[in-house]
Amino acid sequence: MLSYNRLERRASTLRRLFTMLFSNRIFTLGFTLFMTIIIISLIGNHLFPQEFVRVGNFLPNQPPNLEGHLLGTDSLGRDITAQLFMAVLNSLQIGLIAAAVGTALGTIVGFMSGYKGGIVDSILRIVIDAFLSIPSLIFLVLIASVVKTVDVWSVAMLLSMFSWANPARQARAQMLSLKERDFVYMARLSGMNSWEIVIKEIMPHIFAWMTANFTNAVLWAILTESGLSIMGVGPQGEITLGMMIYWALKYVALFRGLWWWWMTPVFTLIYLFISLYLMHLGMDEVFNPRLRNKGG
Amino acid sequence: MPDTLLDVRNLIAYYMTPTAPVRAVDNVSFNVTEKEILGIAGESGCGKSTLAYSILRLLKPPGYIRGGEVLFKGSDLLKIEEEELRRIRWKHISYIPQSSMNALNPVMRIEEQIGDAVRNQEKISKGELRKRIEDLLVSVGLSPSVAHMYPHELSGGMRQRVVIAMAMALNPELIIADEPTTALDVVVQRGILQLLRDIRSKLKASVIMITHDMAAQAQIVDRLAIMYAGKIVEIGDANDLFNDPLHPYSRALISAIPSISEKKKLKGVPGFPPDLRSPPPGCRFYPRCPHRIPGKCNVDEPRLIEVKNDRLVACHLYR
Amino acid sequence: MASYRKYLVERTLTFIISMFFSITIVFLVPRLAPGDPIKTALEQVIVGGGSEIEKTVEEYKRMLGLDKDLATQYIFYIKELFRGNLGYSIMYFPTPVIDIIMRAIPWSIGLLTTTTILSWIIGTFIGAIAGWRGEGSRFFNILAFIALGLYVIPYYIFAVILAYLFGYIIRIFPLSGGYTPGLMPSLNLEFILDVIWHSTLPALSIILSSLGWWFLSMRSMIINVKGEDFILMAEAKGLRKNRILWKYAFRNAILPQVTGLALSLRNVVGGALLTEVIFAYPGVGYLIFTAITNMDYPLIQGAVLFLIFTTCFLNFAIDILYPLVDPRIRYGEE
Repeated sequence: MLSYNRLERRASTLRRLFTMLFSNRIFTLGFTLFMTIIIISLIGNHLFPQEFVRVGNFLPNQPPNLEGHLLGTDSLGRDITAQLFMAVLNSLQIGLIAAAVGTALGTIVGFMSGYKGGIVDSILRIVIDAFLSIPSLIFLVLIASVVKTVDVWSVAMLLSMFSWANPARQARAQMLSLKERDFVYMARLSGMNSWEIVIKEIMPHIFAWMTANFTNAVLWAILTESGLSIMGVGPQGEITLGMMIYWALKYVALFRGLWWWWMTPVFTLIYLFISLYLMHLGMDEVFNPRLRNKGG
Repeated sequence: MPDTLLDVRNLIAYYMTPTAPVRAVDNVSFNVTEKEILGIAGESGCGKSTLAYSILRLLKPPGYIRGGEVLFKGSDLLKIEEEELRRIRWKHISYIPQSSMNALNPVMRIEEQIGDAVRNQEKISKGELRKRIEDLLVSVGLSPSVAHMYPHELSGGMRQRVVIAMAMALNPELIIADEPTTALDVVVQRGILQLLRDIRSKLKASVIMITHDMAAQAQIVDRLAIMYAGKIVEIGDANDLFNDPLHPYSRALISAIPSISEKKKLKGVPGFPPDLRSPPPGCRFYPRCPHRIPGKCNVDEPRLIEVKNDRLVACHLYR
Repeated sequence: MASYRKYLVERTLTFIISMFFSITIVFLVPRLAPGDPIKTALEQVIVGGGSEIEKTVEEYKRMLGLDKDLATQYIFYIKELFRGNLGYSIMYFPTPVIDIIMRAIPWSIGLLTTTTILSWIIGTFIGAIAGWRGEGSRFFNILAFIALGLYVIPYYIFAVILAYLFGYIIRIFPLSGGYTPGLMPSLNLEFILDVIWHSTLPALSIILSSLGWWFLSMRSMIINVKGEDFILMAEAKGLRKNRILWKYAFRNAILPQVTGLALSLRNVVGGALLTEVIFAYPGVGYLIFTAITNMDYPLIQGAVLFLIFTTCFLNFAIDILYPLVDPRIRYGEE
């Protein structure tokens, strides 16, 4: 009986949150842009056969034309359009996995740290700060240069090494302020242990803020993955947006007039970033209503 | 017969809100003569501060001046050019704001801030300026060393004095003081009120003192205007008014002043001011008035008419 | 001041743990990876095979202490680190890694400090004007929109686009290097101008990417200050609008902006890796890139460790110095 009520409560809270989010114009704009490219990529990726991205399959260096290759081919004879769809999905996969793992892990660590307090908090806090101060891209470049990452999952796991730190810091701050509130005392009175309190009582209320964190983490992960790829230590066996840029730069597409090769991933990245950022901005507006009118 | 310095006629100022405009100053008229202290009293939210900002044309959105004239020495302050207004500001009309705490720039020394105001209007040498600032500070009871300090180094009372000194810097003819004694303790209050009185005698300037503190009004003003819900309901000589308040609201206000000497029953004014977005027809004091006449007071709005010598009242009790 | 001491201890511990963690990982990862990276790297570099390679590999391993067990290696590694010895590069054998890094550092620091300061100055001033005058003005609103765009776009994309526009389409600027090859590095005017010429595009790309943030933050700061009482007071005093902006609003809004600048200096060494790579600019970023291409592991490790050290150290220094200099403490916020 009790759990059914809790489920109901959580469902209506979620429903309320969704209505709030989608009534915000900025969020909806970002979300629409984002979903558009996802759906196009999903469909496209499904339609284009695998061989389109196999090296040497087509005539290399073809500019975009309407009969054959919509976005042309690269110096390795691969179709750019097919690459694009695959790249979007791969980059996004990496981003989502790294962000999910990082946010989940980080939130739990942060919550525990804030809730437990004392020596546990002191230790964890220093660890979190340590990971925040280490420059992630540089560190990951080193590891990736030795541990050759080949696929989506290994890159995502690598990124998780750092994607947890920011959510952890935020989670801890949230927990510190929540600790004082009444419902924690109530839960303690009802006999739940600390784990249960953390997960069952407090988490649903922080859903909103966690989603904002998650979006940030996705942005960071995609950015870092592309950085790793351009440095030459990206997932060599996969096609991601970063890898596309890497190959384009390696074959000097910039200065050989092969504009379609590098413009495709670059502008797609810009598009993705803008849509994700709009979603983040919209979420910020909805979840942190500012008392003065929009000055910025 | 002293000359009229400031003549406010039918001033109207609203605040725009998402629902309806708030009529904070609704058709207010009064005048100020040379070398007099005029008090404007009323509850919080009756439009006193809005009135002050409007006279100086400092009202910022969502506040807007909707009509009326503010004649100062002949020119309408609401209509003159920006440049001309800037030249009148501070040199002829200065302002002592409500919270002196925040009126001073935190990152400028006192002497810079006063110096700014002076150098804006006058050509003056550095030495002369320094002397003038020192004299000003001394005249408000501060040590000249205050000039080199930053606002955060001074106490609330000292900052209030600095602001008054600043207001006097160019020897203006009119000073508008908005709640100059609020948030200060009684001892400091007395000093400030004394200062304001001295301004009239030493500078030969007029002062408009806006405050809800009736005791403060009683101490220094020559004439008194009572504001209620955006309108002036009574205006006249201060002594007369205090001895014989005519408007029911004035009576309530004045009897609400606590007194140490007499054992008076402390009477507050029951009820709340009307919502200025949609004020009721007729007299705005109607719901709270102990002498209200149903059918008359809630239908016709009473106009300000001269009832006795130099006493204007807006009430149907007086014809 | 007791809370400051506690804070100091925390920050020091954070720094130590960051370094300890980084050093350990940097040490372990190559050694735990499968295969023999030294052998493969040397095979790339040394022509001719067979026993020659075996001997060099063993010689190299002995010099690096790689023939001992892991624990001894670790202690040896840390000892060497404290002496400033980051090992020897394979590509430029037998040049010590630290020397190669030191040659590249000035380029990175030079590029990043000038661009950070320039973009801060430009963004702050235009942002101040935009915040002061701009709330109704369509021009300034469009500007704010553009600034937001600049802020969102990843910084290396500017490098790519600028390289294309000005290196290929309109061929004015050189596309790579820090200076024209063959020119002798010296402190004469010709060389300096050559350096500036070569760094224009990389610098421009970094400036553009950080401009947006400075603009937007200053703009919002000024908009906040505009509502303060002392600004109204300044207007009541009859001061000119410009004077109020610069002497009253700007002076107050600039304080957090300066803090922001100080805080951003923590990235002054490793902040533009990808830009350097795209322009083949001889800084530390490009160094790491070349090392990766040539599988020069000691150089990769050394450069990465060096960058991590400088970044963590700058973080540490800023963290402990900043509370002491905070103007809010100085101006006595109650």
